[in-house]
Amino acid sequence: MNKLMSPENFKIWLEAAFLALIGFTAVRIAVRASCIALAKGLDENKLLIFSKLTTYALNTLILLLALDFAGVELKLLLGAAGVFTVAIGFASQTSASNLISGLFLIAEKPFKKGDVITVGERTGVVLAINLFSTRLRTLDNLLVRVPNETLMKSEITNVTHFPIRRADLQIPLSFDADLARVEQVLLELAESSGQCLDEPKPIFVVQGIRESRLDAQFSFWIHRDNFLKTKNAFYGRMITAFKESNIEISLPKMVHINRD
Amino acid sequence: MEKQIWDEYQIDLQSSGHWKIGPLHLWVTRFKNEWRISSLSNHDPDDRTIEIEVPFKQPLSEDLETNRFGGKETTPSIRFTPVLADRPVVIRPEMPFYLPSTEEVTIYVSTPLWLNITVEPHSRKLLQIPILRLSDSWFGPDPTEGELCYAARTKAKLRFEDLTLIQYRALTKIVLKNSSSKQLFLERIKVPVNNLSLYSSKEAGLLTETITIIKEDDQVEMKMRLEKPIESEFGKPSKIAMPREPLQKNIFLKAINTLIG
Repeated sequence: MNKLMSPENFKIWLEAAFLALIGFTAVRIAVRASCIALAKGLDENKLLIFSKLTTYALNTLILLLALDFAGVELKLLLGAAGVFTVAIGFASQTSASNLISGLFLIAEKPFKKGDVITVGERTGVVLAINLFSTRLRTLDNLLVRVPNETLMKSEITNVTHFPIRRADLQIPLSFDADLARVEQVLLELAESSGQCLDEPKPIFVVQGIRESRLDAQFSFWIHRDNFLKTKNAFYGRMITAFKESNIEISLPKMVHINRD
Repeated sequence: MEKQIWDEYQIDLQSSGHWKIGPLHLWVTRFKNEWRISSLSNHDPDDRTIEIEVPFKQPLSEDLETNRFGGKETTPSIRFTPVLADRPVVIRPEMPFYLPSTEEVTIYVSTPLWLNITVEPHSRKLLQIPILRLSDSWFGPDPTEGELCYAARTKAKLRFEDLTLIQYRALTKIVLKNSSSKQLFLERIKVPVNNLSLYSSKEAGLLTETITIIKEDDQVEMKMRLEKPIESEFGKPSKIAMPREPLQKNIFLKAINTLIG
């Protein structure tokens, strides 16, 4: 080994390093060209796996060839690498788990880049799905790195998977409310909104009677892009329309009794 | 005589024009380096009056929704041209009906147009705005599968004479052929106006290609064919706008989604 590292062999090492550099560059160019060619057939995540795995495999091969060129006995090196791999394997269980989880996530595709997902208490836009982790941008603009293993173990809600969503408005009504009139007002509001879909049809249901109110629900469908804006605007228009139609929203009442 | 909307107008510097096209009010103001377009809609489909006031000498309200368009130097010409809606329009017949096996029916639908505003030089596009904003609608078998469309407020007619021709609406003739052994139930029809060209004729006003929808036996999907409006029926049509999203094939293509619901 000392002989290999001696100044006499410095030229050979330089040549090996140069060859490796050319090889790495060639691999980079070839992988990039392949990705461009495959871009139509594969989605972004599959392309990522393809490019990473191909790059790692070809670069390892080039490294071994360069070492062989420099006169290193590969049999010895591979034997040492075997022992080293076992040690690394024990030390990197979490990384391996994340990697395998990442592969499963990419294959299963519960979400894609640009989707809005909820994991645990975090909701955010998926910025990138990498082999070890997924990056989210939360709605308050924080970057969250979620390990893929966590994603595999957690319940994920994909908020933007389907193009349309249903908004459920809980409306506590007074016992005096004319339910037919309430339904009519709400349906007219949905029809005139423009963003509330006419199909699937909006639904008005009374869910039950409580101590001081009628619990009603009005549900209507909205395209996911307009969801929050339309739902918020609907609340405002609903309160105005209820006031104009003398429909009372039930509010908790507190009675003070003065015993003096 | 009703005023013609689809025309070129001249607006002086620091001056405005006002157009009322059915439910849409539009104000266009020209500055040396800027066009300003304000709009307001009452969303009333029955409001069909047309008023044009160029120049418009009253002060503009500040509550209007306004878009500004900058440039090097504006020229006085501004042109209004019609375009079809940017999404399919779902329309219902006056009463849902069954189409028995081997029968065919022709229906006529009228869909509201969008206003395409361009300025010289080079017919630069400033804005496209719907004259009547239709409600959104979903056309598909369930909320997971389908297409976002507009819901037409008018009904499809079985006779051409029953349609009122309006300057800012386009007529589409649809022929439905049921070549299958089962009867078809027609409750809603999706008119893919975003895939259609716009024609103009003296007799029928603005119109699109005729759509022929054929339901063949043992096929879930339907075939759709687009044909230039027939001269004997609609007068001599001339094409005035290309489709927003052209279809790859023009003859006998399979509709991706069901066209009848």
